[in-house]
Amino acid sequence: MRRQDVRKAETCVSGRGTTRREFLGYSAVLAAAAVLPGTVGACGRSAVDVKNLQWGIPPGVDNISPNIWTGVGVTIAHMGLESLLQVNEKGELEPWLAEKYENRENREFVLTLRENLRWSDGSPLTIDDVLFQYEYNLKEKGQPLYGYFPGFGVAGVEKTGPRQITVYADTPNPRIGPGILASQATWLVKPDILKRYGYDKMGSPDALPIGSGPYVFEEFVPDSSIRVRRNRHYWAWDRLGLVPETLHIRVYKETSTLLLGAVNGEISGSHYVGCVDLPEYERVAGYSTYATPDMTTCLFALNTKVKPFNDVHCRRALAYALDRESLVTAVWGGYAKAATSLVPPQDWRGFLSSNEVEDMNKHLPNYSFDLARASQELKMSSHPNGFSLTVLTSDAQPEQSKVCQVFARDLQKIGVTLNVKVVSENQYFDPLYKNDPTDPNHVISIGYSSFEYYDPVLPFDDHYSTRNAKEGLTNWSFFSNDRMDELLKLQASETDSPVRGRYFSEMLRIAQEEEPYIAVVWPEIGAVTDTGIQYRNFNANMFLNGVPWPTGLLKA
Amino acid sequence: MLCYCARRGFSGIIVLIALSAAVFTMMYMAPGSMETTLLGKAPRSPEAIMAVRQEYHLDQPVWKQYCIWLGRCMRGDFGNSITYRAPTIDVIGRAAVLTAELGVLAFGLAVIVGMGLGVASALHARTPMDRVMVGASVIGTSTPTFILGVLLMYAFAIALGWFPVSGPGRGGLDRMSHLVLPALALGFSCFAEVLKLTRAGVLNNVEQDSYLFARARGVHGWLLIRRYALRGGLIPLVTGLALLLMYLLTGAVLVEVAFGLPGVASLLVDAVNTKDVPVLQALTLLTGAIVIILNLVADISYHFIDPRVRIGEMAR
Repeated sequence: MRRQDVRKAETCVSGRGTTRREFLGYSAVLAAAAVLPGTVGACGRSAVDVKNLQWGIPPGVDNISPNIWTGVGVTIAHMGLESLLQVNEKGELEPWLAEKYENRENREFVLTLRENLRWSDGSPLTIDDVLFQYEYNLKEKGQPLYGYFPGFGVAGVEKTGPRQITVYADTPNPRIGPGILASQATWLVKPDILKRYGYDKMGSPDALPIGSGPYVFEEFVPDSSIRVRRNRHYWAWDRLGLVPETLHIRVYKETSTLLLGAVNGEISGSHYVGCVDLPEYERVAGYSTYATPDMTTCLFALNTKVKPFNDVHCRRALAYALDRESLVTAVWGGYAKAATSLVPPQDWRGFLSSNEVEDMNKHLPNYSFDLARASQELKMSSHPNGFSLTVLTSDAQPEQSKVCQVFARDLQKIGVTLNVKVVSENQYFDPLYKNDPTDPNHVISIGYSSFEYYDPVLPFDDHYSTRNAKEGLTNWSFFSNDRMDELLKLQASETDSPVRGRYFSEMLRIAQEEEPYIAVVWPEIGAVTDTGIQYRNFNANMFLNGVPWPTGLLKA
Repeated sequence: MLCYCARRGFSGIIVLIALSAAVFTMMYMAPGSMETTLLGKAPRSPEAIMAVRQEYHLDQPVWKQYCIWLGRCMRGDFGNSITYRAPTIDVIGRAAVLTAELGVLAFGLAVIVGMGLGVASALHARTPMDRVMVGASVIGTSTPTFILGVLLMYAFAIALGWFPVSGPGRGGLDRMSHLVLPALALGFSCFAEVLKLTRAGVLNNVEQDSYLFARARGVHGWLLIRRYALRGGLIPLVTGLALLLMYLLTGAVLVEVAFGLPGVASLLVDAVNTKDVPVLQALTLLTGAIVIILNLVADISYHFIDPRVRIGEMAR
């Protein structure tokens, strides 16, 4: 019988035009479709291996170098690099690689190196290595250098003892201790590496830095993965307790993929997680979540050199028109606090008592959301009929666009039009960091004031001092006030914290009255871990100038 | 043939130079700056700005910057990536290896499955099987690769746990296991195109008298398919395959991002966003070269598929 006759016979038998083979095929497909949902969750996570951790992070690790400014990349570099001083989780400056530290009236900083320190390759770490790097930072003007000493007011460095070095400031400067000697600006790198590559070439896969930190960089694929192992020669293991032997850190370009990686058990934790995603990690992956105030303030910078913001009434009108409480909920999911100034509350610790802070805040202008007052201020200004503005936001920071959209909606009610333009990160940062007062893209800017340690001098010096109201520097509103500059000078010579606190209090009054910046929120940062491990004391400092974050992990 | 290839090669070089000049000019005119990427968010000392501008010739007119770059290119020096601070060749080399592995895997899946099903579909034209195949090809063409990637990730990585969620893996079998799902996501949309082209070509041939006569003479099985059904439809299929391979090697950015693969396409997007001009220029040359070479290979292959097609001096 021919094949066609067999098929015809089968068709006649079935009456549906379907062969036996086809029927079996369709049944197999339907059975697979029925079984598939039943296998959801069939593969659970295995117990976390605390000795060999798998970790996930968002993108931003192009390079492992102390030259990285901020972001997730610096948290990776910090695993292998450390400095003579560090800022602990309470925000206090303490000796680290130095065994002794002395601040002589903010003019001279004397550091004595610990004995028997070693680089991660086992070679001795000596005071001459420290001197070499500090002199390099002092002299190498050409490199794009985070730690370019003269830019931070360091005038000289000298070896003043067998294990002692003294750093000299050109003028009294309390920022040198925590801001330079405890920061990535002076994370120590073995001189051979620095001589061979310099800061600008260091940090690529073939030029990994050798430091003295708790971990050694074994393998690095830019923006893909990093492998580190414990540094056998590390001096402080007895202080840190149980920490992972090895870490394999993977970069996940999408936040949704990072969450799936957690669900699949590929990672035991992640830091730099967006706080709005934390509930998903709890619900979907069953992870422990952590949130803590970040060391930043989200703000709008208003260019006081050009219209309309050369008029204080226009600035105040915008300040009253910002609904911070709504933004905390809508944009940050509650993981933020409405900001009243560029100085977050924890900065006052050690400078003013809580009663003094409360009393100070009572007498300061309060820009709570009030559209009626906003309209009033606008009517008193040189633009009573309103005006139009454009603000650039970064596509890599979607919360900026959301903040601006909400702000634009409320500004419309008082006659101000705010056009929100989403651009690439390079395009967004360009006008901000060129800081040109004539740039039409720099009339109003949204950004973050970041700080590495808790001291009110940071936002005032960075954003309100006349010396920083220049191209390439950080006074984004070009604000200038003689009394503010005078107070900055006075506090620099002062080592007594309460006295400095009183100076800062007056600075804050000037800042609030003039309002060249509109503080939006103090956001929080998030992290997640598998339930088998936990953070000893999760705080923002462990990702910057404190003890590196993996050393804060414990078995749960 | 050799003269033909030499002429095409020469014109290809002209195209690459014109392309690189156009891209260089567009990047120069685009908003943003290389200094921002180089200097980052650090306060900029005038000396640092000056040094950066001198090192990367940013203080020169744009035509001079291009000529300097072209001159170094001719000597094989593509400069350093301003984002990664490493030689551009190394940065692209790593990405290119991964993209090539992914592309070849996806291409292989698409060709084997697409051609096989295309032939079967054409030989069983207007049957339920053919309708299912055509339906599958419509779904394959319509489904965004990003969505398919996430679905595959959920089904096979999360629910079944057969494959890792993302990342490139370390090499060997580990790399293969990491590339299976992205290759499936890419291959699915590509197999649909291959199936349609194969089906159309084979269907056209099986309706010819030559096919019927071959069957009447007793030719059957794989010989009948290869020599009479498939061969006649290979020319448009080869053209389509060349285009597919170009896409797989240069444009699979959504799949690379979804699966966290640091390949050529996502490197290209990052280079545009960060104004990493050395990497962008080198990638422009690479993608241009891939397109030119694949087109040349496709054109030459026509002569071998169908000797009646003449190329170069043979066409005169």
